[in-house]
Amino acid sequence: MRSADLLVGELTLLRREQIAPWVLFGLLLAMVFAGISGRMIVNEQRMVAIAASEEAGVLVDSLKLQAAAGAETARSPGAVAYSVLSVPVTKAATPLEGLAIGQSDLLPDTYRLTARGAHTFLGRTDPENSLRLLSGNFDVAFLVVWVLPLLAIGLLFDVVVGERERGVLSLAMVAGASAGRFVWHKWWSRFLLLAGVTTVSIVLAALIQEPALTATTGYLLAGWILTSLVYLAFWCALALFVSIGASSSETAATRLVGAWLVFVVLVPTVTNLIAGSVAPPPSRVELTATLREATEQADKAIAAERDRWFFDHPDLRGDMDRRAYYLSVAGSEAGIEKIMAPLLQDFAQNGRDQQRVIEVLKYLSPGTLTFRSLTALSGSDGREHAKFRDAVVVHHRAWQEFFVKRIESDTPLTAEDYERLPIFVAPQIDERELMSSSSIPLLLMLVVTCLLCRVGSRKLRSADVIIGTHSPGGSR
Amino acid sequence: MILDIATKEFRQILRDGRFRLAAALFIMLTAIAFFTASQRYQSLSAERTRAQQEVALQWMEQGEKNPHSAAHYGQYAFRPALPLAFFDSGVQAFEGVSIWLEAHKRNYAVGRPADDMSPLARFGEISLAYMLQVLLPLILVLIAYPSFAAERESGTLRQVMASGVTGGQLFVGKFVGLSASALLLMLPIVGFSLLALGWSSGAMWLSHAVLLCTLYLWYVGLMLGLALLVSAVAATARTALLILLIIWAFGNFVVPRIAADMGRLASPTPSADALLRAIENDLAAGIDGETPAAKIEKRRRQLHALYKVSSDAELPINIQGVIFGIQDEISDAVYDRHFSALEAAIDRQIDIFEAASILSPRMAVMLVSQELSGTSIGHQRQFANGAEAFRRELMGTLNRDITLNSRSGDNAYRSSADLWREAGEYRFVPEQLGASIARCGAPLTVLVLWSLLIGGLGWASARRLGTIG
Repeated sequence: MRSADLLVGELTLLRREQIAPWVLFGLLLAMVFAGISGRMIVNEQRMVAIAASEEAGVLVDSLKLQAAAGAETARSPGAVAYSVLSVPVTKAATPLEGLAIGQSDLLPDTYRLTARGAHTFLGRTDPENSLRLLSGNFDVAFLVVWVLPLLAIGLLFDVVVGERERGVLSLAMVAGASAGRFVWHKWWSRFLLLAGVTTVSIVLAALIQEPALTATTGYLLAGWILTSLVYLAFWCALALFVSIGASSSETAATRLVGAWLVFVVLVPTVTNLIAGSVAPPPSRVELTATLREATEQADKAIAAERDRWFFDHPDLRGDMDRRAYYLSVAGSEAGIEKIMAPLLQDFAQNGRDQQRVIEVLKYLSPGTLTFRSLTALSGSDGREHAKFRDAVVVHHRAWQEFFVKRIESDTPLTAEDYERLPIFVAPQIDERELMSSSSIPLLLMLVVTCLLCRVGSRKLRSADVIIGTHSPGGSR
Repeated sequence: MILDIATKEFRQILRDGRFRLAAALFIMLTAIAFFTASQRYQSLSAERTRAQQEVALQWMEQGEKNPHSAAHYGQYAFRPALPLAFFDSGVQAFEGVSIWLEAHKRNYAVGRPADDMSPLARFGEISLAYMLQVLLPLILVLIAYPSFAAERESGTLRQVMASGVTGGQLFVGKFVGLSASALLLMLPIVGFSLLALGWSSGAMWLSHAVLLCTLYLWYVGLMLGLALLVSAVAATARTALLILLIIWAFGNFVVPRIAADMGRLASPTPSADALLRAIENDLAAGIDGETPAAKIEKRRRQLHALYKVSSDAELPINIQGVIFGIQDEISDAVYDRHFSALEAAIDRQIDIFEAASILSPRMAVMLVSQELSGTSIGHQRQFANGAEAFRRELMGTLNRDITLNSRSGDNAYRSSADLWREAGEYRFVPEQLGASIARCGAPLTVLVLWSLLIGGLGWASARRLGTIG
């Protein structure tokens, strides 16, 4: 019998099973739903960013016109810098962000800048349902990392032991057929079916994101599919390996679920725990207390000056010197920033330290490896956010300088100045960097998968495996 | 008879290699969870107490200044770490820990621990509650799935039933035996937790802890009942195992995520930007169809008429204090409107989550557990609302001082430590247990429904077992 015939026969058998086709159809539907849900979440964020950006643009245009007309507020660099103008800067969109939300709903993808210190845009400030954040997202990455292995286990846990229990392998051997070949065809038919459904689902979910059809999108999508398929292959290979050695179907299922629990739930959770212990984040509470102290120190130095304007109400004292007021604000902000800068550095450094720890420990679990790769390909793994934040800090410095220079020199803003406002260029996803960071984990998983298959293949040649040395019925 | 069956079942489980392995893993993870949680609780508790004292001291020692400058300097409220948070940290990682209480503005809590979490944080956190909600039921599934199904396959079940044992006795006996083994696993968590709780807060949270124990015993009973039920009706042990694993995985990982996403899609919360813009628009427009400027002018005229004067300078009070009061009145109303709308949007999301718990009792248990541990959204709101009520009192005190103790245009007016002391500081008082339980209506109803369903089906399946003999 030809291999192709055997494969087709297996697929026909699977099609006739009561549950398998529905489970696979369920996976497809779930992936599509996850794609839609991810798209809506990302779109919502994008729409907010676009609206804020457009609004800021209108404001800048209006200030430009007012400055040209000689309006006092639009010409005052202090008023514009500290009271009137706040400009949103947004992280560059990545084509497949909706497939893996990762840290996108935790870390800020938009910062609203003023000339005040960097401490004013530390964390994400969007009001959120914390119960939702705790539960996590139902995105495509979740389905691939958590659910796909369970489906692989469900379809393959008895690929050897089940046939042995039913006596099919012995029968095949007595009939002179190769039992190993029979098992491999069974394995391949199930793997190919799962791989096919997974690939189609990912492509559909990706199309739902309506990404621009560029080489980058193609590369990222190929990376997504490849990573998911290698991860799937690992679980299928593990299922085969366990199924060969198990004394009963129940034992095989229990062991595989145990492996899933360890690789997908426990090891990543413990890795997270270790990362937090090795690189504990600086205290936000202490940051608040320090900010408070810094504010007090800065304010004390200029307290007498500021009290003349009821602290922040120069509008109530129209006859006072506005320049002096904003000089006092600039002085106060510079004082606060000087104290806060090292602390903010600590937070940024801590993020990098945690990433480093995870980069080492991720090799302990294929679940972690795959999750890291998929979120990296979607630009939602925290590294892209860190890059974005670093770029914002640099831009913010230029923004501050632009205004403070004019406040100090008492130079009124002109219409031309509004055209010279520093422009933020968001860092783009670096394909080369992604390739180097994703390829090693991928290769490693592939090697482990091949090893499992090879050992399984060898064992399948043994008569013990075919006939079984254990009595069926499980360990209880 | 029931006791005999229970004893036999219990002994058999203790001899089971799978149970021993699972128990060892469970106890090891429990130890890790307990150690890390108690460490974190101690450091958080000390840190927040220290910070609260520090900012209180800064407030008292801010020196002489205009009360409105002090109002902008403001105070900070830090959410204290409640003792049972070490057992179930609930939503705390995703909620801010400090609120700046300043003039004119209601700020929301910032400094979420989640802001600094590692990228793997979305895999979840091993807490003692997580062990009981997620891992213990898995162990129960693994030890209970063959209870009836395997015996039916091997023919033992028919022999047992033929010996005169009723289906009900067998079901209850197995349930009791399995419960005893589950209790064995729960014992270290309950024991260590109670010890740690007693050590950290005496008897103050004992009633919460007792209710938590009851809740988890109920949940374990529910999960065991479900496992036995499936084992009783499944044709083979393999089918029973697969069905139970699907229920476990979907109930713990899939349903909560789908429910959370559906909630977000059905009732989105506004972005910080949109919220701020809406608040700014309303602040500019004023309330009751009256702009702030018009409202201030109206009050100015009323004051002039009351004191029979024609200018602010002639008033025996400082009109700036009155103006600040009006501004606060307007901003309070505007912030109330928007914060209520925000809370309503989140409540609708929670309603969907609660409704989905009908598919996953773990979600219901999670909600009740957070309420009893003081780590729910409800507790966060109680903290934030308490802080806001204090902020309004604080601003009222400072505005009154300007109004009554200085004259209009007197910019050199200064207040001192006496006023700062009079204004006081924010002290968080945890809500009564009854208030927390009052929020558990929906999840408790779901648990009752699950219990009735499993109890009813269990009874029916036990009767069916009786017919085998």
